[in-house]
Amino acid sequence: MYKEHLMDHYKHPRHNKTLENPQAERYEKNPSCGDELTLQFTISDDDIIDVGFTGQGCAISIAAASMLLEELLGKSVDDVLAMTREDMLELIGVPLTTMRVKCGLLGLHTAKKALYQYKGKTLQGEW
Amino acid sequence: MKEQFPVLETVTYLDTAATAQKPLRVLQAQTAFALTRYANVHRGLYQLAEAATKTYEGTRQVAASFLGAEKKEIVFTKGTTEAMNLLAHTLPIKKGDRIITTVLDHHSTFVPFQQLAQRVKAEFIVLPLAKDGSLDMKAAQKEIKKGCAVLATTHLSNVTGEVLDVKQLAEWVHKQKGLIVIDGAQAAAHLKVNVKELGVDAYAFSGHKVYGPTGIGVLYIQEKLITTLPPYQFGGEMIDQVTIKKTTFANPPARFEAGTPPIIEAAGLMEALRFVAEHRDLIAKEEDLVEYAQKRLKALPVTIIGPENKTGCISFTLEKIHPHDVAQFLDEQGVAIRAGHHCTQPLHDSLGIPASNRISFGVYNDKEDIDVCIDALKKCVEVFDV
Ligand SMILES: Cc1ncc(COP(=O)(O)O)c(C=O)c1O
Repeated sequence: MYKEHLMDHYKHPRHNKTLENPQAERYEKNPSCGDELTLQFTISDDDIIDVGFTGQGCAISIAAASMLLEELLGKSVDDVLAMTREDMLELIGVPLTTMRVKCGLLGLHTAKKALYQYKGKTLQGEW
Repeated sequence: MKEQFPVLETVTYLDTAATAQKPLRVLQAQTAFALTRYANVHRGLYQLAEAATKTYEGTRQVAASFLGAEKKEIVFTKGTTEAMNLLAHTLPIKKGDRIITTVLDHHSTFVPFQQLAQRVKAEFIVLPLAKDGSLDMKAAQKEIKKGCAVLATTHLSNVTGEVLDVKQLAEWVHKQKGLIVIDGAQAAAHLKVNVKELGVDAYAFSGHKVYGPTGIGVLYIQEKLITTLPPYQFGGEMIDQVTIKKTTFANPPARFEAGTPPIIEAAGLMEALRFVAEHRDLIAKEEDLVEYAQKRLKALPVTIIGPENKTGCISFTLEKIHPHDVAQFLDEQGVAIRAGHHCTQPLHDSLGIPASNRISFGVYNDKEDIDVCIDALKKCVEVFDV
């Protein structure tokens, strides 16, 4: 599972920063393992023009958040809201064991919550 | 020893605190019973039922001897968790009473007694750890002295590996006319337990942690207490007489065994308890393994949880690497260790960490297993580059 690509994102997470005036922001925690993420988005005309995250957690959750933000930059809010868990797992690129799927999905879950909130809606259902 | 455990050819198993692997002889005893002597117990008049009942009640005798108790003081449960729930539902605890537990306790003790306290509006007191990571016995004495209707705690911590001074706690509790009930889930696999010497009122353990089957456990309740407790569940086997108007209940232990019990598992448990009793020498050697493992671990960037003196298990965190990553990485190297809160969230909260890693030992482990594990941990530190 700890392939080079994943370890690279873990050791050198992209967009690991705090934004000045984000239009969307969300903190989420995975209570079973204590992973914590805060995601921020600068949005213009419903396009994501800057992203940032801070947090701590296991290699999977950090690397996955880093990969996700790299992917989201430049996309529209609706594109992101249309992303599925399968999309996210594909992005991570290595198969996760059942116990670790939640770690891999924490980033997407947090992003969707942030962007739903931005649109004035709440996310229905589980991640 | 390892040839009794074929699965050990495929994995370095260091998670016996979660559940022990089963020796062939236990599985064979279970199978032989199921194939030749199986029927429902306490019911049929035919010979097969008689044979099955003999084995089931025979296991009760073996379990009693295992704990230094009397047969009539032994109740079969599903495991330690059910035993603690049974006690939390039947002990005479009332509003305003003081229920004491510790921050070390497994959720299977902690939660039933916390919920009991909330149900009857009793006080719920959680004893803290001392600076060295052992149970704070000064705080224990002080809190017990203020009054104690029941103290529920563990004999051997499944995280820190500390053996609590249960005998001392029992003395303090009994001075207050309270009851002491002990979770022996870990202790039963590592210590020779005598409930009368310990002076406890109840003592529980699970079959699957003493090299026996899942689905069966043993609960000792001392004779005076067991005869006063009301039923926990209702149904077949636990009754004396049932009429449309009312039901009277069987005497203990049958009173606490409603429904068809785990019969085949009882046959396996008998063999497992014999297996443990026959291997006291090997079990004593686990102490050396713990010491060796602790020494080797300390050469790595680790923080070890709890006091220096440990039995059965060592929990730790590797600096800057999440415990889940450590366990997952080790799994990829063929080493099975635990990561998580080990059903002790209050303990992990008090340490300010969400999770830890744990290695734990059984009769089948040797130094080589520890060397393999340490090598894998070293590799993990390298790959994660901390
Ligand atoms: C100390 C301790 N108590 C209680 C339990 C609960 O045992 P069981 O799950 O078999 O009921 C365990 C293990 O899970 C344990 O380690």
